[in-house]
Amino acid sequence: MSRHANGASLLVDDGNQASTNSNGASLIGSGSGSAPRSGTLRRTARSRRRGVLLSSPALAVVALITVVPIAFSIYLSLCRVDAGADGFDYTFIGVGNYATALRSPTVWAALGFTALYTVISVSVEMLLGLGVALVIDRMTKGTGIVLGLLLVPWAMITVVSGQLWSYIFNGVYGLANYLLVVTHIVSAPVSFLSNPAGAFVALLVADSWKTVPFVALILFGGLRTIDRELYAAARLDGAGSGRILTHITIPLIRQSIITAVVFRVLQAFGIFDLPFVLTNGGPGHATQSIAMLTYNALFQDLNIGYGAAISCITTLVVIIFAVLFLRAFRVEDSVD
Amino acid sequence: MNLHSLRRPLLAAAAAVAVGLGAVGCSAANDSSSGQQVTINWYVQPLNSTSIWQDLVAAFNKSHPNIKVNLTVGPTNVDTVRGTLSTELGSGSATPDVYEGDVTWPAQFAKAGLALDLTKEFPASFWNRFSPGAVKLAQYNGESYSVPSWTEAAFMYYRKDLLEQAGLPVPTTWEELVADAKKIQATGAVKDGYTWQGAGYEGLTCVYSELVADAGGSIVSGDYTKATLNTAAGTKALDFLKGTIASGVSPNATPTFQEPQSLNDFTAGNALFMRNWSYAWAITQDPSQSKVVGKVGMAPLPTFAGQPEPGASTNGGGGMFINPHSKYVKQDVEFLTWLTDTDAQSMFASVGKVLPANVQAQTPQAQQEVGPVGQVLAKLKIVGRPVGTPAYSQVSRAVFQNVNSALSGNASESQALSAADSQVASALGSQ
Repeated sequence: MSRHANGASLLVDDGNQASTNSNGASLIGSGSGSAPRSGTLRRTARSRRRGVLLSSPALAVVALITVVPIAFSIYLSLCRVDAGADGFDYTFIGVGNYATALRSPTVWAALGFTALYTVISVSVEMLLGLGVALVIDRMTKGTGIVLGLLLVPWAMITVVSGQLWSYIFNGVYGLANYLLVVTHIVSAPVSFLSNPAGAFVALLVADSWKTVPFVALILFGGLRTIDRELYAAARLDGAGSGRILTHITIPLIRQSIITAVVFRVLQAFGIFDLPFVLTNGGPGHATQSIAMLTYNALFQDLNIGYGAAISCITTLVVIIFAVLFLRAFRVEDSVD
Repeated sequence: MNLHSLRRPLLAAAAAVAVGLGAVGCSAANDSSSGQQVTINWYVQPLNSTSIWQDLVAAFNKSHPNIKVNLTVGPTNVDTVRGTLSTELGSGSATPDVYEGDVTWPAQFAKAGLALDLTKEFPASFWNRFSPGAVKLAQYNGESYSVPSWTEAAFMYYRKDLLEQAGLPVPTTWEELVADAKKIQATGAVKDGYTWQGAGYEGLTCVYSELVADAGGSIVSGDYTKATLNTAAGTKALDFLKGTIASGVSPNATPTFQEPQSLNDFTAGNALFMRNWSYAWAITQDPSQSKVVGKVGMAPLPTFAGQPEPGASTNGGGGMFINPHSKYVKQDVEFLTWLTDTDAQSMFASVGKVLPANVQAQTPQAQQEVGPVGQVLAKLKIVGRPVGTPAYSQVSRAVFQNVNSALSGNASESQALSAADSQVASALGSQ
């Protein structure tokens, strides 16, 4: 926008220069060249001020509902919190809660599980999501219906779908066992949720069922922006499907992929409701996510400072990941 | 304990919504209408499908024109309720004035300043209406924080038809139970011998504590300074539990079982014995939910051979706490005095089908009204969980997570017990 404006003013300058030849050089150098530009600047500054003014109520609301609670939970994580006669008492204790958390094997185990779960589940869901998106992109009929159906798992409340999956994976009368037994794949029901690998896979399946459609929808949005002629041109040049996918499709939907990965990582790292319902962190604490530890500390042990510290550590890990990831994929460059 | 989570969720949810809306509707009107009348808010958890809470409130409001009790029935999950109440009370809210809490809460809530010290509010003689064990469980540092209201405990359920057919007496030791189970499983009459709760949750702490007590041990030392799990008794208890699964007496999926799964197995006619709470009785006798109506008996849990009978039973049930910020402590006390007197307590038996906490209300008639639960309850050896520490939730998690690891074969018994022992010790040390 601003480039066009400058371009227009330069054209006018040329006209000026032609008519007032006497001090043309100075006109080109500073006078007429800079006068409109500084006017633009003044206008920009004024409109910027007005913009800030107009958006400040909204910004204040955003600050109130995001920055204030975040700042407060950082403060909480540095305190010992006791309920007193007049509500909570906060005693500042510095980094004590962080030291306790970082010394706890339970916290490290939960961080390890959560990180592994994030890497595996996001990878699986991205691959499957891309597959689904490519299929829908090729569809000529019924795309709308399929898109609508895809939203169903995503729209279902996780606590409810988690409960359904716990019936499916039930070690006695579960549907999964029924199918395995009638097809003679196993002779007796398998107790999926009582070994760590089984519980991990059960979580992965239930999570993918819900989030593959989400990934697919985002990637499908990206696929729709690709000009079909590019495919035709690539075919003419003799490119096969694999080359088209890796050299045209994926580079062109990079923005969508980045969006989906960032969203999914943030969600996967904060996973709570699914293991809470499906495995309760078990067997033992094999599937206990970091968010479940926060819940235990806050709402079962009533240890607010410690819970806040674990939650801050989690947030920090996620922020570091997001920054590194966005930097690695040069998101700023690709915006241009 | 997750007793509350076992109760009939749908009915409870419906009741909660109805009562919750009702409470919102009337509270505003009453505070302003009469200068004399005081409104106190009472928060409870769904007990079962009966109308016990509503009936109690109606009876109290009728006989006490100066106090109006507003009832709110919360969610069934006891941990959700703990989260809600701790947030609300901790931030200084004056309501609810009186709330129902779990038997595992007194120490934690006392230490966190979420419960009023009731020692000075009630006369010393007040506490005589309860069993000394129940009073002690509601104390922290010698002060009382909760008023026992109704009683619940763990029982052994058995298929009396199958035991009679086989000519076997009701087992009183774990060894007998396993032998009987194997015998009857071999005939094909049942698939499973004994079904119990092995999932990683509070219920497993109850199961394991009972067996450790049967083996002559405990989870923590009496003065709450040491973990005492990694001992001969702790090992014997874990050996027994693992053995039931390894030998096929208990289903393979036991490490994922909570009460509903074991109950389903039993009511489907698949199991000979079941450990469960008294709420399960009514379900085993409901033809729409059970294939074993009229075929079920209840007895105290067995113990290990050579130990005095019967085996240990974990206690449960509800207690009433007073919000330390309540504006009407005098009225709260009056209400709780009424609630635990014989009239109201008899309603717990006749309407609520649970055994009252007031010992004078535990009459033969009340026992009759409650069903076999009432007759067997008096014979139980109640052994509490180590709830005297504010860190109980951490102690219990250390127990159930590690025992569950061992049961599902992800840790050896000795690894599990030593991990549990050190986690319990660190929980105790953090207080």
